[in-house]
Amino acid sequence: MVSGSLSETGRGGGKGRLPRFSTYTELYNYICPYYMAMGMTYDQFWDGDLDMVDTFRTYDRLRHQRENENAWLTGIYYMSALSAVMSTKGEKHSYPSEPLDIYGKADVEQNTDEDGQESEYNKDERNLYDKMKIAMEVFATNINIQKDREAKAKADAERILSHQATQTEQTGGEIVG
Amino acid sequence: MAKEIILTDEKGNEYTLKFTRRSIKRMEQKGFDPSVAEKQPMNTMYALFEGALYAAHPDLAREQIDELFEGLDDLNAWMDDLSELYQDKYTTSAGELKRTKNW
Repeated sequence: MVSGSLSETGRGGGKGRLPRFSTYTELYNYICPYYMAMGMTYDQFWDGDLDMVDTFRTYDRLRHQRENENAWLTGIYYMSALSAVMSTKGEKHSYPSEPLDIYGKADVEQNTDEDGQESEYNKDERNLYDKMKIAMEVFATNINIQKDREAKAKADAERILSHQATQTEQTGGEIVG
Repeated sequence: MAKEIILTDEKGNEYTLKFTRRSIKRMEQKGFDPSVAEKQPMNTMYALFEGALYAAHPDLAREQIDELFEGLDDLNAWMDDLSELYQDKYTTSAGELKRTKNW
């Protein structure tokens, strides 16, 4: 028998709670913009198959996943560029001469060749990543050494000034020695 | 694929019964209230039948709908089928709301 199924949503509204609707019309008016933001047209929402929303939700999730992967890939290229600029002669890293093969030369699902050994593509990618990582670590270490030297020099200067000030007080304004 | 029912009249014409959000909205605008189904079963039945026809046959005249309705044989079975169609998971609200809340 038909029943008032909208009572399932009766959680009272308020902060963090689902809003309360008395009719399906109110519910649909509420959720329509959400699906339109995913790319669903107004007519698709109101006149299309009811299960079309599942497809659009899946599409939206995959789209966000792809955007996230693109952002990550951009970060890899940034890291590679910075490493190329900051690397020293000993651990020289150069920017890749061609785009990363994101789909892999070997089977995408497997990182090993048929004989069970690590694939050449996977080795190349890992080596590239290791080189970038070493270059960034060397850069960070050099920065830290430089900072330590500056801090030590500043401390020495302050100690000397303090010593001179003390001596001036003792000799009545005249520096001795 | 959302469920639908194919109705064939005496002349062999086929009619598709299904619900869309627009047809449900139209039903509610015309005063459909599922909570009174037990008190007004025939009115509820007719409203469901008319609403289910509207999605695929919006230009069907009132006389034609009445004729089709009168030609239904087992009303109890039809009532169950149309109720199930109406209560299909995609027309219920809790799941839809929860999914919007996660956005």
